[in-house]
Amino acid sequence: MDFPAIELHTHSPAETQALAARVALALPPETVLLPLTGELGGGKTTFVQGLARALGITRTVGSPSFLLMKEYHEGARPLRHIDLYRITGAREIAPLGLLEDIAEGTVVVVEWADRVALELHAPVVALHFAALDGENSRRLTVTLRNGASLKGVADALRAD
Amino acid sequence: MLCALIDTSGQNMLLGLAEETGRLAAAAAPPHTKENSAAIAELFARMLADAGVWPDELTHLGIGCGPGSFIGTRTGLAFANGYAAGRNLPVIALNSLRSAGVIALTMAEGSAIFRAARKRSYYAGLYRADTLEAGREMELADEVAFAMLESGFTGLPEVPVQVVTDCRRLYDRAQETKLPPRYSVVLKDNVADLRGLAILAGRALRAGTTAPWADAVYLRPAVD
Repeated sequence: MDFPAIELHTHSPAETQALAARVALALPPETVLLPLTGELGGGKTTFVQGLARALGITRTVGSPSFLLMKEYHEGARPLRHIDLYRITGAREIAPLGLLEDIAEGTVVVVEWADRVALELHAPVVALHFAALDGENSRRLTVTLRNGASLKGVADALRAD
Repeated sequence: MLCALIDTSGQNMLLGLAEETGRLAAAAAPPHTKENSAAIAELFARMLADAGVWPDELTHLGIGCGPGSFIGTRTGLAFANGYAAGRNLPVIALNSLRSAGVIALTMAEGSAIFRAARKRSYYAGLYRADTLEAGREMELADEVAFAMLESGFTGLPEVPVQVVTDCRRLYDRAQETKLPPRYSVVLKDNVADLRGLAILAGRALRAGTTAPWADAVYLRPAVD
């Protein structure tokens, strides 16, 4: 089941993180894929930081541009953070199994998800980040796919 | 327990962190450049820093021992042994070929891994889930490898087999040959698999089959 795209605006990193927290708390309990796209400095990592904090992860979550994948297990549910910024083709990441061996209930976030097509049989919360006029203003376009269980996310985001 | 992983036996350097469960906690594959072998210490330090892990948090070092690129493997081993000695870390010798075998076994009951070696030959490993630890690696001339592929693998009769290779020539030959439907053939740039290395490291950690750094394997595991 797919949902109509939802467009949202934030005006500061704190607002982006608060939005991420709302998404985190509304996610269904099964494994979910969050592909993030948008230009450099668009707020993707800020979003992931807000998501991680809402999941109870206390370690600093940075932009793992050297690391392609980092997994956090200390929160309410596992978070796998993948960053494909440096990647130019699927063959580069083949030996890493980035979407393999995923524990049930993991939140899988993929920054620069448009660099390589990654397939995962799971509900998808896709977010596109666009910078607007003004240093910290962002437009987020959220697309929900592959799951009736995402209704809670849709409701939480439409509550604005 | 937290085990750092290093494998330089293939085209790309693989760096990561494995937990006792065999779970891969962090993964990096620096872009392939000629300078990577000189920068291995810096790349390793950067991997730890990006993962938010202090060197003191490492309890073991897992080293990909090939078989694979002779110079590449030796470079990684030299660094890993030096690092382990400096920090007094026990090491785990990991078979790079078997790391691919264990991952291919998640797709089929049997796996056959062919890694290009020098002089038109291959390092080959045949694995089944129930005999993985007893898996046997060998070096084969290319015609022997082709014949083995075309006639079926004696050690893997009547089971689905995933064949993994980094050699275009062998891959093309497999495509041209009418292989039984139980075979699937995969071409990869780098046969070594970081998630497979993590699984093997996890098994070694749980079994306690690690070694003091002084006993570290200095070159690839025995290949007949």
